[in-house]
Amino acid sequence: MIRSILATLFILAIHGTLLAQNVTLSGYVQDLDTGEPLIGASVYDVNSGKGALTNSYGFYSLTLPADSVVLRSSFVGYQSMEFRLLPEKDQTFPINLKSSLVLDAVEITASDLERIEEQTQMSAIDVSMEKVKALPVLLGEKDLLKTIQLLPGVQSGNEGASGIYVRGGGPDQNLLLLDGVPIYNASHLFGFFSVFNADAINSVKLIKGGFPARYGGRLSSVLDIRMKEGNLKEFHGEGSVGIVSAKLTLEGPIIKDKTSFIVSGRRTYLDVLARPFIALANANQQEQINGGYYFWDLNAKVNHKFSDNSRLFASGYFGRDRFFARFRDEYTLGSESYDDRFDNSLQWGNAIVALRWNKIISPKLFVNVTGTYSRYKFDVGIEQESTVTVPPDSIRQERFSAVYLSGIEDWGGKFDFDYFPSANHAIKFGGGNTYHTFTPGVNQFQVNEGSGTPIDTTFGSQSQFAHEHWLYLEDDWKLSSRLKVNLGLHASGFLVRQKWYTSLQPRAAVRFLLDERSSIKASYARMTQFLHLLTNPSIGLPTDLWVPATDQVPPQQSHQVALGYARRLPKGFQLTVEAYYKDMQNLIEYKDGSSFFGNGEDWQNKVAVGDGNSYGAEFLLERKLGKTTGWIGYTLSWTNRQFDDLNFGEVFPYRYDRRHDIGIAITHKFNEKVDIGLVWVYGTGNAVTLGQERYLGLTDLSGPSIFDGLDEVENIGSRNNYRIPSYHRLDLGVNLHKQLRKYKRTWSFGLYNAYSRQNPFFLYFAFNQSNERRLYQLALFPVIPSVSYSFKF
Amino acid sequence: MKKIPFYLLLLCISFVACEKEIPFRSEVQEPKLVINSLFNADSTWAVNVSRSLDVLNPDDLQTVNDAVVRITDEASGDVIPLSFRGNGIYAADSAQPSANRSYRIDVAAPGYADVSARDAIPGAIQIVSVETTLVEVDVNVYELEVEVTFADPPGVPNYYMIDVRAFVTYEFNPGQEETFDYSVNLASTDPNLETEGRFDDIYDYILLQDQAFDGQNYTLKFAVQDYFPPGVSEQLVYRLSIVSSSQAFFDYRRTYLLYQESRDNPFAQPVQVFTNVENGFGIFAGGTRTSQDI
Repeated sequence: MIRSILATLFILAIHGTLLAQNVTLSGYVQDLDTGEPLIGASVYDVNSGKGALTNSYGFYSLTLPADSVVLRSSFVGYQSMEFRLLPEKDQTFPINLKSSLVLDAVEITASDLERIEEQTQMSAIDVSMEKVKALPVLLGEKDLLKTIQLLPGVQSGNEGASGIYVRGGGPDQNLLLLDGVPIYNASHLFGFFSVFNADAINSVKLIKGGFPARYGGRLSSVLDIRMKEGNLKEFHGEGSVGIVSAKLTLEGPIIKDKTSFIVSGRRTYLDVLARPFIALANANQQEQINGGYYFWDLNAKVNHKFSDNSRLFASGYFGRDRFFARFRDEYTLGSESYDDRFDNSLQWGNAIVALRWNKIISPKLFVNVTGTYSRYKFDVGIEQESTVTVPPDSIRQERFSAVYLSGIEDWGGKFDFDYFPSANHAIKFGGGNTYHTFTPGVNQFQVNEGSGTPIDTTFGSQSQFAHEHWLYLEDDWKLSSRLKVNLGLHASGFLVRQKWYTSLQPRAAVRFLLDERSSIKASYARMTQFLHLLTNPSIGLPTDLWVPATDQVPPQQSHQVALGYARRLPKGFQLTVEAYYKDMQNLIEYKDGSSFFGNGEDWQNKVAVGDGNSYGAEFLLERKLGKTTGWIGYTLSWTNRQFDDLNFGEVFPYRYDRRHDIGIAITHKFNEKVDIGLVWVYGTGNAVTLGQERYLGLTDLSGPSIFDGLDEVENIGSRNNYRIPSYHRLDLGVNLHKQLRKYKRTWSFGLYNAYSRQNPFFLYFAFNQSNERRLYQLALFPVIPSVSYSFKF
Repeated sequence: MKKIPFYLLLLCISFVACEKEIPFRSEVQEPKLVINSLFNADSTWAVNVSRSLDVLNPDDLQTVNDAVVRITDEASGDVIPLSFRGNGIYAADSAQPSANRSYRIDVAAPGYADVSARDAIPGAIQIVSVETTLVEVDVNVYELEVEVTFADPPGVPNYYMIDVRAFVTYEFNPGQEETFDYSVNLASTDPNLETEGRFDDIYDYILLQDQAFDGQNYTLKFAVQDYFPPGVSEQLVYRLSIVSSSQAFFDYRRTYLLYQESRDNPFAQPVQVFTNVENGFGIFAGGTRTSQDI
């Protein structure tokens, strides 16, 4: 494998040498005011029509004939710039673009727009952080994943939850990368908010199919999130105070144009506000009750330029959710006094760290070396302590504690090269290794009854260790003025418990230009995922368990094909239509009757392994420039599962099989002071399992005959046999901006679920007042107003 | 700061979940006939017939007492004569199922669609040996460790249910004895057990498939919990049984056990109880019991 890659590189190097009469322009494309890199910016020569896009670090390299060059650079939300050059030799040419978030419609030119028809990559969407901040959301808490849920092909789970389900895949099949480091649990507040702080994010790219070879390890999507690097020019800050949380972001140069930092923190404060009320409730009470919930997160990054060719980045994310309840009761019985304490807590959080070094080895070769650390930890604990004081001086103490722990920890390293031998080739290659430690459910019990032998025991699934390796090579290759392909191979291996899995994953994407504004695209991607996630669909707790592929539970695999059409329309509109088919193997689901709770049974015995498929069509009409921007997305899809050990081997619909899914997200800017946002979503109801009939079964199965009695059984027919009512919701928001002397402030007012649709959270049977059995639904959120104040300086 | 109470109030209102009755958009399920008959080669034929109801129907799940129940030996075509014994039970006077034969049941009753099912009784298996060891696990608390070896027939999938029942005889009056029996708990960590949904390694009965030991002598180890040794209770007799069962028999027991254990657990996946009754519900399945006192 390595030999093949080296041979290919050698051939490509010779190819580059033969083109030595050309010159190469290279450098970074950055925001003029902040120095932030612009990822995916276009740089092309108007004369030759040859161009390139900046990579994940804002670097471009463009090899052109040594001749007159008219270099044009553009990026959505920035004013395009043109440069006339007469390069005679390879030249570093940094480009700084001026932000221009709102251009009047009349100003829009074709070159200002993202040229979606040009890109080989299909099934990918760049999410604008400005859009994330402008759209109304639950409780005014700007949320990246909530915005992504509005895109076609992406579905939300339950009401309010921030998980995403892409093209029929599960929540574990999304590779959430923050500065290239995987995040394993992206939810705060039981899933209602995501961990991504919009103020600290520079760019977001969602890929749903046609995965380039550089990505691997998940079946359904890649969400590549890049943090801001910190303003290299000036000190700036922004913050907000809302109903749920307050946040503050500070950034600026440590050494101007050389070293910068950004730090962004957020914390909820419901627990703090509730303290006086709890104290009031406990006043003069024998029983003291305390409790609360909070989450916090912190993003931080330092960026240092050793030279124009060498940069170092250190970034980190740390977050934690904690729910706690405490109870204390002091009382006297006869001559004995008792002090009983009860402490219950539930907490989870992520910590990730990335250390990256960028080096421009030559104008055509760029390398990034990264060291990563990622940890997700969840624990729930109960502690009881009882102290009995018996006069005159005897004290008896009893203590019981139970803790359930789970988590995953990764140490990793990787290297990524970008090689641009000519204007017709953009080659990426690299590899890496991750060392995983899985802790998929450990129970710790401690009992000390004062007398007898104390019990201190740990049981449950043992920690498991695994190595994951990968190598990749891809070439974005322009074959002709109309035809461009992206060919690649991702090779990976996984070593767990002496079991060695390998996988070769070919990737291919092709784009054919129909005319100047439209193209058709097709792609194929084979993906392998060595991790599984045990999820419990009935609750929104962060109880998911990450587990490795084992000799009993093989890695997940998928094949996906997609066919698409992309067109730029007049007045800044873009249209993409895609159809896809995805086939998945070795998926896991809890077996009938199993749940994550409880026993020390090995998780492998609780799950069934099976297959799934998903197919459908997605339509996206989008406008990125002008006063009115946003998108209308529609998805028509079918998603099924088939497990030999579930549903008696029959095919059943996936819980989130959603026939119709509509997402509309629109913002309109009246002027510099007022903008409004609107979101409307509609989705076919989720598939759930409900009983349909009742009948009598045998009570005592161990008994010898039917005469021992009969017991009621509820027949559910098949798994996921019932559709809950459809989901729809309208959110409205208005942002009022004002430039004050020292800072700009914004008041944001919002209405979540404006027409107070009672969307079902879950269904259950119960008896009404007439003692008739009826179906009931629980809806979480009626109309919810929100207000927040934010500032920026 | 003055707005803090307002925010708190707003939050409290906002997070109030709304509950409401909604229409159950499923076709009303017409009552169907339910057959319950797990038959053994050593017991007379008996069938319970009842009716199913729509999940929202508040009526009682009654037995059906005017059914015509017909069991046919599929090889010979002989019909087993059954008579109504009351409370939905239809039983033979003395006729017993035979091992290695296939039977079909047809049930008809006024107002219901006809239902049917078929199943075959596998042959008895041979118990090769039984070894027991008495263990005092605590003061005057005993377990009986059992190693039972049996011969698994080769070439076909085989399904087993292993249980131990305690038979206790009381003499209420001189010369008037009565025997009761009950199932005892078995503890086992055998790797081939069906263990889904278990909260521990304790079983009322053990379910076993022969995928891993087809055609071999297999030794199953388990412990009889709360065992009363002969010195403690002379009236107790423990009887080990291995039921060589059909797949339907096995699937029904496996899924029904799961159903019973998980139906009150809101976090557990719902369980579908196996049925082999066409157009209805329930089970018509057989097994052959081989027993030995231990």
